[in-house]
Amino acid sequence: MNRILLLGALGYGLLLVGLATRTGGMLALALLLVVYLASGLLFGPQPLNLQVIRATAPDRVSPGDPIFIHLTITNLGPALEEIFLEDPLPYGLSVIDGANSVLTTLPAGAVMEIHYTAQAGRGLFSFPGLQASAADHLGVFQRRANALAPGQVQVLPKAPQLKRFPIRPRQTRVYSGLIPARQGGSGVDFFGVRQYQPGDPIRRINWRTSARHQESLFSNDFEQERVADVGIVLDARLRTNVHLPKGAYGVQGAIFEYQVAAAAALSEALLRDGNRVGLLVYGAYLDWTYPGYGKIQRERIFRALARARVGDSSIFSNLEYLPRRAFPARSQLILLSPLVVDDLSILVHLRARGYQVLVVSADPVAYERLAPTKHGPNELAFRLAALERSLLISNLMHAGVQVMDWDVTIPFDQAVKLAEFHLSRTQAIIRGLP
Amino acid sequence: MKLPALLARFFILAAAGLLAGAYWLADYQPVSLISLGLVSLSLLFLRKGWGWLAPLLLALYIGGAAVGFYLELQPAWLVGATLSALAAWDLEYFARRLHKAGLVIDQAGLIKAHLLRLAWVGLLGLALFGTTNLIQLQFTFGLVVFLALLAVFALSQGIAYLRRAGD
Repeated sequence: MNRILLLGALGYGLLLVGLATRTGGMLALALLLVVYLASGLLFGPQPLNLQVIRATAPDRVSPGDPIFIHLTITNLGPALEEIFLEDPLPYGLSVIDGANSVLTTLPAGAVMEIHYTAQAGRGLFSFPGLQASAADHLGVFQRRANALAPGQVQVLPKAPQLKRFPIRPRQTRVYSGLIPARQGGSGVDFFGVRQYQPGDPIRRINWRTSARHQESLFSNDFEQERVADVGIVLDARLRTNVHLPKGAYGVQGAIFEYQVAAAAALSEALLRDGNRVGLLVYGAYLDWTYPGYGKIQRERIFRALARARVGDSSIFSNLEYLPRRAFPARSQLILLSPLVVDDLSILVHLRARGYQVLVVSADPVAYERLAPTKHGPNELAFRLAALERSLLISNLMHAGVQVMDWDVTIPFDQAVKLAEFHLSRTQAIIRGLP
Repeated sequence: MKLPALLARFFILAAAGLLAGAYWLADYQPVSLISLGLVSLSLLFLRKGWGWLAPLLLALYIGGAAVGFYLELQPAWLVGATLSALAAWDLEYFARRLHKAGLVIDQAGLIKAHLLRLAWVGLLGLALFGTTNLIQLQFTFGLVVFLALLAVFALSQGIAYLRRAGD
């Protein structure tokens, strides 16, 4: 309750009851409250005039890293008897050292500093500004102000380092890169033998084949290596997400966090190899990062991943509204999703449209199994869920969709190494497909 | 425990004790027992940090003192109880303000300045109360009504100004 209002109401009450009952003592009692109120009127602060400068270092960090925040406040107005300064933290940021609120006196022209250290999980954080509340010593009369002190911190996802991520899209771009292009030319891997053409270097002549034919020479052809278009789709649907208490059982909370880290690692590796990479976060809404190359694109994708949140939407509850036109025809699509049964038809449809689809699927069944339930693990339920999932993966693989089944207790880089063998086997099968 | 919180507890005990004493001396023993009951409620409120209860308790103490004046109990005890209740209410708020701040710069200086201001306000209030009790004036009914209206108007203006200029 407002202090002035309370004292005022009590003062009125005493005054009116005192007059009505003709009790002089009550009227005199009201004087005590009036004096208290008058002190606020007399010593109350003038309008606030504060200048605030914020410095955050560093402004780009990884989750859990310390962020040092430094505020310099100058009082450009008259002296303030008591001032409470608070730097409200954006949701998700927490103070680990120092304090983000200070109570002090601030003489005219005085400069004071607030230092504190914060940390946060993945996200983009904007500071709303410093909140100041000045009052007289008794706190009767308060003036509040919101001093602008803009600042932003980006907590970007931690990306495990991948040496290479093997993809084999059906179509590549014209620029040279590291992805086999299914076309003969200059490259490293043997592709085939063709008739010698003037200009072919002598060391490329296949002497063994040429010896079998009179008056003809044959050259070795190598598979061209080019860059490709890669569309990464991050599944942020609430229905596919599994959430365990953060820190418990050595996990990071939501399985979505693992997928975000995997998406960051993939985009970094693919962009480093010179590919054109785009990102679509498919959840409560579509957050589309247009395809691009290089370090600037890496920054764009990491920012999009930093702000990615799990969300629920009746429209995007299944992958039906995946905007296919956003991805170039016959390009590589990488879907990061724990998968649900009704995703099957949509992924098969994508594959039928000519996209090379690879699903990196964090295993939600194994993840949920990490947390003991109240009545102990229900083995039958887990077995049924695991069977359903393996059937789904099997159907996807039969349809020509590559699936990397990832148990998130294994770090992503190691999981990629383990999966490489299986993926290359699948690729060999897919190569024969139209 | 910080000094303001300790003093708040002291003033709660003083307010309840003085109020109970005033009623006890005038043979209103049940009321004085109720006043003493207020102590446990007040201390519980301080312990639990129920900020919403502070205005109600202040109103109860002041109301108790006002009724005492109506019953023509000892004015010194009643004004002492009111001042103590006001001081306890003020110090409890100040203690919360100190607790809320992550860092208090020159805490000793702030506490000293606060207590000094509170002491001045208390003394001035007491002096005014004493003066009004000493002076006996005879007013006509019309003048009383005029003065009452003037007081209500002045108080309204003061409160309105504080509220408008503040929050």
